[in-house]
Amino acid sequence: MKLNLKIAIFLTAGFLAVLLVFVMMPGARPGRDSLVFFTLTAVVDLFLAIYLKKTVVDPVKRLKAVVQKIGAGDLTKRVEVGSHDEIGELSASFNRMTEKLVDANRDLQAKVKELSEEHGRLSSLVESVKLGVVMVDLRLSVILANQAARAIFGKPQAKNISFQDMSDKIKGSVNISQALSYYVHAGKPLNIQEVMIGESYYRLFMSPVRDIVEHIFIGAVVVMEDVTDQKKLDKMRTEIVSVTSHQLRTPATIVKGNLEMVLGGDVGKISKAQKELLDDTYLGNERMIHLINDLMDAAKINEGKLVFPLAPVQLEDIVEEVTKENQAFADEKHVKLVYNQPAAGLPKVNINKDKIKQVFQNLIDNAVKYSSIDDKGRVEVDIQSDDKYLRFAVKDNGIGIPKADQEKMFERFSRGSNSTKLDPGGGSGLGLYIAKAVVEQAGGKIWFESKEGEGSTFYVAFPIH
Amino acid sequence: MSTPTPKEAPSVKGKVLLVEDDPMVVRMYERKFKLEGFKLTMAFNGFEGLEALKKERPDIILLDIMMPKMSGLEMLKIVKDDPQYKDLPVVMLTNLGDRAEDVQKCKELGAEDYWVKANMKLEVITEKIGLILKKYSGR
Repeated sequence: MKLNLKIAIFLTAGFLAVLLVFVMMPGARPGRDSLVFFTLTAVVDLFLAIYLKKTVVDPVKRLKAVVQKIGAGDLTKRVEVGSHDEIGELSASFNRMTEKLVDANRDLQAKVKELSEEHGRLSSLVESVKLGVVMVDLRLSVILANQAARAIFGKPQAKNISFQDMSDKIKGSVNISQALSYYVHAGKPLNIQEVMIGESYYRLFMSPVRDIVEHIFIGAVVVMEDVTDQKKLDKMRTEIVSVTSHQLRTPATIVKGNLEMVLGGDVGKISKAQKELLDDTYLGNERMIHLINDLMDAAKINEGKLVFPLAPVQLEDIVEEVTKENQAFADEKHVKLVYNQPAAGLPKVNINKDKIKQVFQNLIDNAVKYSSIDDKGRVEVDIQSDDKYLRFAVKDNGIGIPKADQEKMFERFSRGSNSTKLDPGGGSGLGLYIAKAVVEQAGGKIWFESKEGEGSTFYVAFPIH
Repeated sequence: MSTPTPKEAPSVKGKVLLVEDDPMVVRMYERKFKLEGFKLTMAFNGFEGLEALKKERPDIILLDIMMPKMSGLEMLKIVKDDPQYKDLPVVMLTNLGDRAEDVQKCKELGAEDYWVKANMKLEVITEKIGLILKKYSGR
């Protein structure tokens, strides 16, 4: 029953009871009567107060105590629902709400557990990985540095490191903050730089980091790989190559010189058949010498010692010379070799004449070799200049370079997968690698355009000073 | 490798001191130089080279670098420090790398040139020796 109905009935009943006493009392007198009336009213009020305490105040108090306990986090408490009035209903709905809270809390705890497990897995992964990992924000403050990274920068015990710790320790010409801020702001995907930290060499991979939700750049990750052992091994290999190459040159010299005398008739006449055999032997030996020279150059590039003196040179003179020298070879291969002479005189460029000649020789030789199919081969050599660059180009209509091989053409021992047919047992795969180093040492650039089955064009450009 | 041409009896073009430790290489140059009309003296290391220099008084020295006892570079220094021999042309004839710094170093020490054996035909070597002797005899 509703509370106000209860009170209304109780009041009405009390009032009627008092009224009845008055009406029924014979010979009522005003003074005594009002005393009696007030006494009766007070008694009724007292009952009313007791009733209200029992039905309203006590349940509200109990409710309050439970609410306080639940508020303090004890979700096991429930309110006793004693009556069917508003307080009873309030208690019941409060209990329902508490149940819902318990459910929601349980879900939330499960989610938190899940997330923290995930977080734990990720951070122990980052922490335990052998590579140094550092994450910086847009202002280049270090947000995270894993165990390996902290050890690399000499603070294995610290929880984190500062950017200063990093940039202080990185030796060499690399400006780490400049490089990083470039990658952070440009949002470029990846860059590799080799640096020295302490006595060790590291390769740095830098990549920008995007916010997962908003996709804006929020910083960069630097991953550091210790390549010291690799470098040591590389150096040892280079030295071995260098020494053995030198040792190999001497027997090749003996074969070369003695064959030259035999073929030149210095020790008497030889038959046609003997000459044919010895000519091939001589050429085979020449190829070996060429290979040894390439290996020595490659070893020097590896050591960072490929340094040739540069001097101003008229490039078209070299090009003309090399083209002429290759004419016989082109004729032999039934390839038309054309040199498009520049109309006007060109400015000089600062290069090492012998080495660049070797590069052009190599490029023209390749062009002739790889276009010697069906007697339709054609190689065009030209040289042009604009305000800034002098550009040499060799264009052929040969077999081209398969797309899959193109990216690696300037790497050591890399050859086009379709090259062996026209050059069986030939090139070392070092020619373009050396060419690139020689051209770049003179401040130039080398590149190519090619389509398999249609031909290739190789370009070499030098800045005009 | 042109067609073989019969060799005529050569006239003596000059005296060459070859300092080289590999006997097969020595034998090869000896034959060619004699065919081309040079008079040849041989030594197998720097010490022997210096002795031969005093005894034979050559017009030109061809000097290997990597040799036992005394290297070509050491001998070059001694020869070029001696006022008696400092104007004598010395050419490094070696199979050691053709690094710019090696070549530069030898030239700074007074070598006339730096030839890599494996990269030069015998006829080119003899031709160049002839040119150097001609250049020095005119002095």
